[in-house]
Amino acid sequence: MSDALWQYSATDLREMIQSRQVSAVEVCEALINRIESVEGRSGGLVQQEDEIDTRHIHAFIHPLSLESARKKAGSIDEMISRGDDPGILAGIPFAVKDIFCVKDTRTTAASSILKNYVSPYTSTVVERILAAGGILLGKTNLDEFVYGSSTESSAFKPVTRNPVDPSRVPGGSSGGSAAAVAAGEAVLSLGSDTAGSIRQPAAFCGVVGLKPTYGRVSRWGLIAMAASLDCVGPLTRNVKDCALVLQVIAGQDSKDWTSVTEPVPSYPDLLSDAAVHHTFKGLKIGWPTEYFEDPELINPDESADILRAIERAADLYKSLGAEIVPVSLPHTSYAIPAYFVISRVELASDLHRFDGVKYGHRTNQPVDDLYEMYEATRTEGFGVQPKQRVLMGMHVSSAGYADQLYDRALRLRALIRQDFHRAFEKVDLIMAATTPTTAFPLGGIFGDTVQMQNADRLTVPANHAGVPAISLPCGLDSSGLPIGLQLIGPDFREDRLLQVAYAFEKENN
Amino acid sequence: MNYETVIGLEIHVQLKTQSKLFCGCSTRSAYERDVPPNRHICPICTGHPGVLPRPINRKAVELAVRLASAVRSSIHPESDFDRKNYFYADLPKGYQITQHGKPLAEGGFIDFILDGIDQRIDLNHMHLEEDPGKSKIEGGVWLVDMNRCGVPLVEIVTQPDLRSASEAAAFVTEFRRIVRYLGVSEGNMEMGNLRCDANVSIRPSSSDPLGVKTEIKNLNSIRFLEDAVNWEIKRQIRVLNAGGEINQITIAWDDQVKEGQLSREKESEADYRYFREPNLIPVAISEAFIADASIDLPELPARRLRRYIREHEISPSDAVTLIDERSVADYFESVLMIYSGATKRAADWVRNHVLRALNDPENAFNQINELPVTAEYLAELLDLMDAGVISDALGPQIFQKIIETGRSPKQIIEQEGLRPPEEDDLIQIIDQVLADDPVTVRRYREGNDKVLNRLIGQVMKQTRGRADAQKVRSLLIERADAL
Repeated sequence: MSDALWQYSATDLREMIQSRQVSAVEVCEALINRIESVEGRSGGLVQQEDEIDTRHIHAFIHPLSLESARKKAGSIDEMISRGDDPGILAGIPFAVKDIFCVKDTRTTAASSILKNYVSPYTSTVVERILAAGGILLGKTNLDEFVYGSSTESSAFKPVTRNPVDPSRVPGGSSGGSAAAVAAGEAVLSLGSDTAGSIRQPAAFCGVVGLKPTYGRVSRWGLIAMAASLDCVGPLTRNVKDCALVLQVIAGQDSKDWTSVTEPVPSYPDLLSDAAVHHTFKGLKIGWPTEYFEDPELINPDESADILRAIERAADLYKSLGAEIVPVSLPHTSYAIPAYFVISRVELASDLHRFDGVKYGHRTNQPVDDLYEMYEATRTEGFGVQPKQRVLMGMHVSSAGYADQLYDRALRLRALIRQDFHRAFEKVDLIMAATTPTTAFPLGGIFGDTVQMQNADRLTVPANHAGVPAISLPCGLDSSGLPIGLQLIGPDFREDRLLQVAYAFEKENN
Repeated sequence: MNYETVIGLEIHVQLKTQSKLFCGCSTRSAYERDVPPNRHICPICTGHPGVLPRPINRKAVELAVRLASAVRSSIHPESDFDRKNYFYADLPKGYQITQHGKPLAEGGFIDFILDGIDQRIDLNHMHLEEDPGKSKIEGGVWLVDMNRCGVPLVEIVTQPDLRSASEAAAFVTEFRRIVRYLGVSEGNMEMGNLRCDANVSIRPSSSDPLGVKTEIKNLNSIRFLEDAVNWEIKRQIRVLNAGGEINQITIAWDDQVKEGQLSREKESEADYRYFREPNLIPVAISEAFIADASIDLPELPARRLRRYIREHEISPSDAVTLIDERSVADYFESVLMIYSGATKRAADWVRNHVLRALNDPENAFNQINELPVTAEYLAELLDLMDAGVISDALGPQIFQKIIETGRSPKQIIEQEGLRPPEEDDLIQIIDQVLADDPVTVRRYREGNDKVLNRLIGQVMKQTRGRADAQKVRSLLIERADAL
């Protein structure tokens, strides 16, 4: 039995561990064995890809923290045998996108400018999961500084592959986190979502991914991409696990001024049959016409399998008593252009600190002055994506351009937010596809920044609006690749998203 | 050609808080000289990856609001934070958190007196920001000290209303007094608690449009400010008279050689790419908060100065000495409330004895509230002298005794037996002196008035200084003439 333990959900495993059916150590070893059989080499610097790498997942980055994981699992077992409360996630092995700081471990954001950076502190979300008894296995790979939608831009190779089809990308930027959960290398993982970086890889790899409401989960210790859009959330095997993790990580944090005091409900308890049944009474689900018909957003031929799957999901919801109501989100097609501008202005500023003065890479070349040191350090340390984005960010926020570009982008963002607020006056939540395509082949669009950014066109509106959105598996396309159903709710209604997602998952299995 | 000078000032003031603006690190290095570099730092103020500014230091907002309120600046009910982006070794995040679009307060004015004339300079605005660190090159190596990173600053920007270096100096002198009166800053310019940038331009007299301005950076003493501005005015006049034109540059003042160093680049080329700091929510400032922050706002020093000169008829230079430190002026006024004699006498005693005692390195105290001679004791001492209970000559001696023992003037007079002798006793002493020195008495009686002083001295010696010298003199004359 213990060999199959890697397949279980967190919800099941915690029951089994706490009732002493299995030990935390057994679960931990099962996950480690699984990693050994499917992971291959984890991401490192300057690694040429070999043929053998094409058959492995490479979800992780840097050496794994297996010794501390085993030690923690042992201490969880001791706590349970002593009768102490070991926490909600006691003994659950998890993985963390390498964009979160963990004290005394390497935190690189998949960039060689931070290749040797060891963080002096731990992010709030990781701290909360550790405090709840979670067992950290290691850091997962991502696009450099999260700039991408395929995990291919990481400075650490081999690139992560999609466990469903290793010739394809896992999505991104939280590709390693999605792949680890999908491949059974971690029971759950943490990701970050600025334009769809949790939901899109979740959809590509066939797992559940949640972007909570902006402010619902602390960003302390999350290396910023665009601070006004960044959200932290879980990637899990099922909806119940998602509720479990959200309950642990949500809630105000004195270290993040933008985190909110809104009370945190007990999300897992809201997934009882009775509670879910109650929610479906009179439930109105919005069907945003632009997401299905706007030619700038969706090509009906290219997305035929996906659209069919979403329609089937709508039929299922109707059968559960929900009403499907067409709504309009007229500014959706501006979401990507506005995002291009806003994210790049913020990230160009956020990347200033990587200057070789305090930590991280510093050039070895002889330099005459401070500015030459900056130039050489940043030229050597940053990959193509950060360089491209910094250039654009500096351009659009410079005097004379900011009014025309940045300020207009902010106005568009306000309009997109208004679209959602108006829609939520009529409906309780909105359903759509998570992505316009399923997982694309490795190298398929890598290098084309615009097309890569466009992969986020159905997910980024929720980031602009700050509202919560979840992606859950809803079938396979004709090539057998997972399709993601996206549910978007009003501010702080993660409870409703989880209930409606759970109803689909339960009926569909 | 005659030129008119136009000066606007930007003054940075470190707010007197225990901790930094956006983290819990100590601000000690702003006040103590022996703090080792990079001692009071954390991941937040050194810009580590993933950190966020903590909710703003409330005390800093309170102090800034107190200052705004005192200078009649109108405080925005909500103000925002922006990032000012630039690269420098002592700016760990690569941007400074400041207020650009919607500052804490706008408008307001500062009054001061220059050469007896009332002046009013309008303020443009006032905003909160974080201090950068310090850096220097030593032996070809860049050294960075981040202790100062994140120390709360308020920056005030004046309108370009100042017309001379001495006006600018008088303004900063007054501003420094104000922040110290309010308790919002130590205002120690040498420590960098208060730093000044001056924007200087000149234009032909009677011409309206402003000339091109240059900015003199980081002037950390009022004398440097005055010297630097005068130097720059002369330089600009020279350039214009030679047919050249002024470039918008920055100038670093070198006090060693009394010369400015001109930057190569034009300041207008700097683009800070300001945008809203997404990690901070706007600061809301309620009427109640303003009321709390403005509690016990003192009378401002310039007003006090005017009052001393006009109501108390204290000379302007004496009045400046009295108002310079709020605690001294408060002390002086406490003395006045109790003391029934002349204001001038109290003022002289505060200037001559109290301030001297404070400045005396022999004394263990340097704050007026630690001085054993409280305002009550000084008033008591002055009243005792006025009433003739003790002689004026004994005043300084008793003052010193109070410092040494902490006892009241009356206690000291009793215990030391310093009351003047009764008239009968005094006459007895005088008669004895006259009897003991017939030679001097004879010379006096022959018309040599000068020798009288020797006799007075002998009487004073006999009475151990307790007797009133005037009284001794008249009694001596009376007794000697009667011989």
